[in-house]
Amino acid sequence: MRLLSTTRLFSLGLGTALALLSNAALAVTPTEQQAQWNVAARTADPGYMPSATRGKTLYERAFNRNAEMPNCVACHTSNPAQQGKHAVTGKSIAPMTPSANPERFADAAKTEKWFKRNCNDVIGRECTAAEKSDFVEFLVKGSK
Amino acid sequence: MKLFNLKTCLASLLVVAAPLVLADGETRMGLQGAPKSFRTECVSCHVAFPASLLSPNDWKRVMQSLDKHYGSDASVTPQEVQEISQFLVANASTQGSQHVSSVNPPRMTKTSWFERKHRKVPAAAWQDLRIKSASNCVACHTQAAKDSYAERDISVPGYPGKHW
Repeated sequence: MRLLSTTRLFSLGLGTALALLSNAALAVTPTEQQAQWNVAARTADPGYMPSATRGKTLYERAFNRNAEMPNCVACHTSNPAQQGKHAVTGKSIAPMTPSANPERFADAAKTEKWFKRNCNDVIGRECTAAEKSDFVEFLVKGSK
Repeated sequence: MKLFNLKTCLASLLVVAAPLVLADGETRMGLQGAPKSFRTECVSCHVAFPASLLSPNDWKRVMQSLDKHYGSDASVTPQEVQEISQFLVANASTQGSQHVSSVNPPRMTKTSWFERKHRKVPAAAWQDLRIKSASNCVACHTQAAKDSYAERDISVPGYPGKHW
């Protein structure tokens, strides 16, 4: 077999393409992430549609599980488009609203990591796919 | 033989100056070479706590209970636990017991070194809402976000212009 056979070139090309694609797939948009959550939410509730109002309610609800972090607002403030502040450490937190901060909901792994931690802290459990989609709906569409 | 040799002069200057520069050990504080995960994970919620301000065992205790991290879930991937632990333990202090936490879970604010260094801070200052907590280093150490704790950069809210 020649060193640079067609087969080898093809494999190399395919490998590179796949590598590039897999990296590209990590960068997502809020809408793309919502689409995945919507699919998951519909396995439990086929009629599910994201709701900005439900998202806002979730965001503001005082779960009171944690004295310093009773709700999302405690760190992310009543207006997620502005800078937040960690309720315990005082460290500043960049805005959550994608239009105010394009880094938000642009990395699926990062999104899931922070949902896991913060929902656990505030609510005491992981947020459901429906809750995640509602919340992003609220961030993107605002409250109406 | 020339009386004035430029190379020797420069070398001597370096020898004299080096201790003056390096003696400002209030900078860096064992944070050089931190893995990226240390910054993206740990420093997303609080200032980069200097690795050299706790003992190796204290850091191990912190890293083994990240899901219950001072009231928060701070879990990271197993790989990140490994690389961050490695960094912290390697840069931790092994000088006697001055950096050993007197409490568990470990707190660097509860070491004899920290208490001695902050003995001049008035009790009232710790209650100031702008400071909130002894672990809020940046409230007074204005360059803490750059890992720097040099004395010249200290400014305590409520005590403007005072030298510490």
